[in-house]
Amino acid sequence: MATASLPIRQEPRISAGLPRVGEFMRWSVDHKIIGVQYMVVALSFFFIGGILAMLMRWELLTPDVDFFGDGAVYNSAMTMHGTIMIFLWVIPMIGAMGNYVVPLQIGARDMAFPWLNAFAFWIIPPAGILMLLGWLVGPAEAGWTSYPPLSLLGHDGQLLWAVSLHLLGISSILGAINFIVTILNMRPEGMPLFRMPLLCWAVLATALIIVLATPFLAGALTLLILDMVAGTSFFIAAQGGDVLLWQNVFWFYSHPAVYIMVLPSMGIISEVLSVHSRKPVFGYRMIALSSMSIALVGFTVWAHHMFTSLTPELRIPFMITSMIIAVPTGIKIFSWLATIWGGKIHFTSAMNFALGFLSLFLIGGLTGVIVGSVPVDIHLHDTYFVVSHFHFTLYGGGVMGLFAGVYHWWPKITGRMLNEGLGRWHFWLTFIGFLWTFLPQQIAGMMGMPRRVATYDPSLLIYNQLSSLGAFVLGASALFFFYNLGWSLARGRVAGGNPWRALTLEWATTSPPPPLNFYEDPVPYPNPYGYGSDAAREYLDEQQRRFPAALEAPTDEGSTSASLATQPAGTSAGSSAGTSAGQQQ
Amino acid sequence: MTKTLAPGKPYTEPASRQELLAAKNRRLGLLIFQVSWMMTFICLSVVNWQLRWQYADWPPSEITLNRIFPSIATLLLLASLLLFRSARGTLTAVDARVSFRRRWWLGIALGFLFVTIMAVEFFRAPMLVGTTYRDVFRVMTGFHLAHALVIGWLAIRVLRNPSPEDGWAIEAAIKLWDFVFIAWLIFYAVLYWI
Ligand code: HEM
Repeated sequence: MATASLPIRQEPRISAGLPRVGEFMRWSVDHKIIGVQYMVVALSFFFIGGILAMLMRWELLTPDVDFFGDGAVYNSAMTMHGTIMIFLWVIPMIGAMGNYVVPLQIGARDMAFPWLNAFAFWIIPPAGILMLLGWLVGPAEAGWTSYPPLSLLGHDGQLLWAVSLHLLGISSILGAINFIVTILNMRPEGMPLFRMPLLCWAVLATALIIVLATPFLAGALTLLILDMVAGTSFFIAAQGGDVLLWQNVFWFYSHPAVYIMVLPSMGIISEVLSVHSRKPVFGYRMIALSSMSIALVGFTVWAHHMFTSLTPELRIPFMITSMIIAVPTGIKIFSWLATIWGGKIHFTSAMNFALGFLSLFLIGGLTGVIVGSVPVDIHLHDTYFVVSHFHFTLYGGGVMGLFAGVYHWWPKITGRMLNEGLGRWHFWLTFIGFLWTFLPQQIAGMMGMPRRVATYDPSLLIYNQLSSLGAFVLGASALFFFYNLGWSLARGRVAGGNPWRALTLEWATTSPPPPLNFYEDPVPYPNPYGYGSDAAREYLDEQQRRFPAALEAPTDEGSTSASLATQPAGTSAGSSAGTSAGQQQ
Repeated sequence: MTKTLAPGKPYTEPASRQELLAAKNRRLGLLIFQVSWMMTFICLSVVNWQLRWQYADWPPSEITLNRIFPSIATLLLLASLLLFRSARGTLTAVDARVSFRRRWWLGIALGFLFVTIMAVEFFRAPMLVGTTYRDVFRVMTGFHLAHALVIGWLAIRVLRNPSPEDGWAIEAAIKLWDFVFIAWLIFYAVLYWI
């Protein structure tokens, strides 16, 4: 490892080179390695969760139980799908983005507590395996919300589910502490809080929710586990417990948790929209502060998941808070629209996914307002309308944002561009497949199709078949994504330090960055989103010179670090992105 | 292993910008951890409240709560906290080592008394076999005891070699013991008074 005092060198640098594969498979305290580890684990679980979704949609092609043979098998697939997608894909993926990008964006050498960072990551794989092992002992079947009494009747898998979730919760608390300290303490001079990139604001808000809410999950799970193994009866009404207790405590965590899942994506698209439309962010302060207020108001809405079981007097207050949370969200949406308005929009894959986020998350948010009003929710509760609503927010919001982030930062992480052609296929199949899958579910839901069952009324056949077909398209879209990742590693064009000509600090170094990230003390550009000015152009030109994609003439000095550039650069498909990106500004 | 204590020297003296940052990070990190972890105690208090709603009599009328022993235990805990703090204060004095040890040991002893009393409460006190009241009572006291034991053990480890360079270990132990005390105050109020 290099020492803290790196020599200042002004020659062009190509790349610090990717670490060897072995580095990623063992304990490491480098935030960049840990970020990649998070990402690989999360993507693997995304794949597993996706296969389960495909199987469920296959089952739902017909009104009867046939493919799974038994409704209980459907229920276990549904439970595992939901849990994996939330706790082993979206949340670890936030760990991935946050770990890789946040320290770079604030010009830090690493996270505040590198060891703790690695520890938090290494809890996840065993916890994930524990969850999957449930299949050997009779899997969990009670849905990702695991309401008692159902969750107390189940098999041992339900216990493994609870233990695994407990571990994942601890991991995310430890990770969040690290994020907060890093962001608050380790910014360089010249970067006050309100000059910080918006992704950092989003991660900060997310981390605050995690440290305040996740302990409630820990508490609820502990009591559930005690009910299972120690003969207590917190949730067993017949023995003096209270089933609604679980719902209260669980949702006090889990509703804030849905903002855990979407806030980082909001941060990602704030970056992407501004960079790829070459315009300053509109309403920087409002976007930053609305993240915080979403985090805050998010704590007051939990009981809207329980409208049907709540004491009637409490319904209206929770309805009001639920509506209030639409306000900061609306502020963000309008700010984003104003950001791209009149900009030089480059329809890169990252930008496409960010625009996809805008439109799909908008529908997610609006359906949220619909189910947030009590009279409508009494009708729609536990129907496919809800399934559609939360997929619009989680997939159309969270996951689209994560995809945008992957397309945006992959060049930084690997030093190679992704294939824009494949990226467009991925985007359009996802976008069309998504609407195709989840719009019919809205109709089915309004017609009363209950969620979480493998059977349905034959009159709903057409909606379900449509939905299933769409789901297969959606499934296929992911294959393009995975193929693209592999393609880029093998043949992608060399990215250079700053392929998108972005102003934030993560681009002011080579791709991938060296250990300890920077070649000298990083000096942030005064306005992280000051695109379009002459000063910014000069700054970026200088950066382009210092961290180019390839050297014009090979020098002795650069021979080791330029190794990536000497390999054959990507061919036709990849270069289209490069030329358009090179022309930006 | 035992490092000598240089009298008269403040026990945290960051040498460089990096060490300063590291110290700042540790403090903030510990603070956030404490706030976060305190939420688990608040969660259990909320659980207690929600459960008691359905009961006309809570605690069940068969038992009378003995508030004397827990109150004594609370005072002991407070005393031990104060002793820890004053022990830390002596570290800069000339005969640092001796008086530090004396006070720290005493603090641990009082902490141990607290643990003993509460362990007796846990096993014996307001018990009605098979009631939810007992379940919650035990979960809360047991959860707190577990923390007191682990953190108390850390405090004993600090004692093995108190040194000025190790200022952080002492500071952290004290802050964690603060945590034990505040967490206990919440539970004490919820379990015995409210
Ligand atoms: C390929 C795309 C996907 C398809 C086709 C799909 C399909 C489904 C289906 C059929 C269900 C079961 C509904 C029921 O029976 O009630 C479900 C539940 C669920 N899905 Fe997805 N899903 C997809 C992606 C995602 C993603 C990306 C996430 C999260 C980030 C997600 C989160 C959930 C959750 C939380 C549940 C609820 C499980 C429960 O009711 O306990 N899904 N999904």
